[in-house]
Amino acid sequence: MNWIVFAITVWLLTGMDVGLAPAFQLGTLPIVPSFLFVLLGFIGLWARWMTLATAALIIGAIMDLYHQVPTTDGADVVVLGPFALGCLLGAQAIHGSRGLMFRQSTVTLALLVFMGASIAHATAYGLLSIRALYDNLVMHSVATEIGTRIGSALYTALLALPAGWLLQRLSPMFSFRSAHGLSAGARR
Amino acid sequence: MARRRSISPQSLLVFACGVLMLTALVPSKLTGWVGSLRGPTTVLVAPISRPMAMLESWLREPMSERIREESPEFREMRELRDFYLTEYQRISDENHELRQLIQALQEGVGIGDRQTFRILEAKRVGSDPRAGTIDVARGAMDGVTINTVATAVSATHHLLGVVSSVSTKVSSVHLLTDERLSPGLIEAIIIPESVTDLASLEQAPRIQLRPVGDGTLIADVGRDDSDVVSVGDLAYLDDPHWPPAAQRLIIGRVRGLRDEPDRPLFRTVIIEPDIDPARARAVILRIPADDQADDASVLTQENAGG
Repeated sequence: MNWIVFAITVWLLTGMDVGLAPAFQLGTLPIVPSFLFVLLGFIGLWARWMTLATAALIIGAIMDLYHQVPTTDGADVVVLGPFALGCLLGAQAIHGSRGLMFRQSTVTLALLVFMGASIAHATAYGLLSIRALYDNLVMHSVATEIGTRIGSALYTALLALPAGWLLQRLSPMFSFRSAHGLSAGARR
Repeated sequence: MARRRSISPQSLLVFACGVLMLTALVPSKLTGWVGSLRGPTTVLVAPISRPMAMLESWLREPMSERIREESPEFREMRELRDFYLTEYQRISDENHELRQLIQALQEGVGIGDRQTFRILEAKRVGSDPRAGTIDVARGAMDGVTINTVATAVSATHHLLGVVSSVSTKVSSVHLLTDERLSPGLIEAIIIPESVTDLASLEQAPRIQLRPVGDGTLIADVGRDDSDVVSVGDLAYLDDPHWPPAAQRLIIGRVRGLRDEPDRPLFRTVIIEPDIDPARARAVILRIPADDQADDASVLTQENAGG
């Protein structure tokens, strides 16, 4: 994978995630999609495992830096790890499933994005909940957290249809080389 | 000759996972340094996030539906009235404080610190609806500290939130409407439209507001008190747990009163901010003026109301 193209794409998509979040917010609910998950799903379709794992850790770490957690003393804290590890597990699931799917399809990408985002959110929530047992983190109720996170994953999958289509068109720039010799954008 | 051992990528991945697991689970007291990484990252993506935030603000008005329906002339008159009402309350409070100060001086007690602050505009550069925060382009370099009060730009007497994390150039404002805001209950008074004299102001209903997560705040009010509350009345912050710069700022407007069948002695008051804090284009930060910064972009005033 071309890491320079990856870095520029991450930069652009992070800016869009941060700047456009209220525009995509579902009413007043804290349900928002993430362009970075779409990128994770896209890379998951084409990259080799070690490349994918590294990219997942980077994407997840950036998400961790942005999603602060409120504490009981009024300050917000950055917790590095929950999304990074969640994205790694999500990437593993995408990597394991991609062989069974038609990779050129945007619908496939949307499905894998939903799977990856759900796993990442579940892992992040699990780790934060464990830490909240002995630290001063403030969490929503279980129902709110699950509803919000599943809603966000579903919303991200919907966003993956147009955004994924665009990424598939740009895929030659990423210069993927998979273990099977297939590359993104290859036409039979 | 000794063979040089290289570290395999798999080992590096396992090591990275171990470190991330540690930073994820070790308490905040030991991992506070991680927060310092956020500032540079925010600054790095600001060239993209800032235009996106501006575009988003342009697409969606931050005002509540009720306010949007008002004609511009009516809105201007109402804003002026709200402003002078807020000022009136602030000056009444100040008057009360001065009386106490005179009494303290007569009794030989030292003069306490009078709250002064300077105001500073900060553009929104990002937001995180899940955390209930917005990021603004002012940080520790500008004197922003934790608990700095943020108000709306278009109506500086409307409270939006309080700063909850600060890096060098960027800070996060925890919004008033987020249900994880700490402390969870916000003490406020509701001033009915008809009240104009100080005696009636002192008898205004006092409520404890709780953000519910849908952009509104609710409170229980006794049935007797609820008789004087009507839709459109303003709720003002009056909570000693909040910084002095936030006192007597407008939290929102009464959107409705709801009967509670299982609690016949109470009614629920629903308060909605006039300006949606999550969609504010910029905020005004009220920075405690311990050191009087000499900055041309900074307006300095004492106990400013607007």
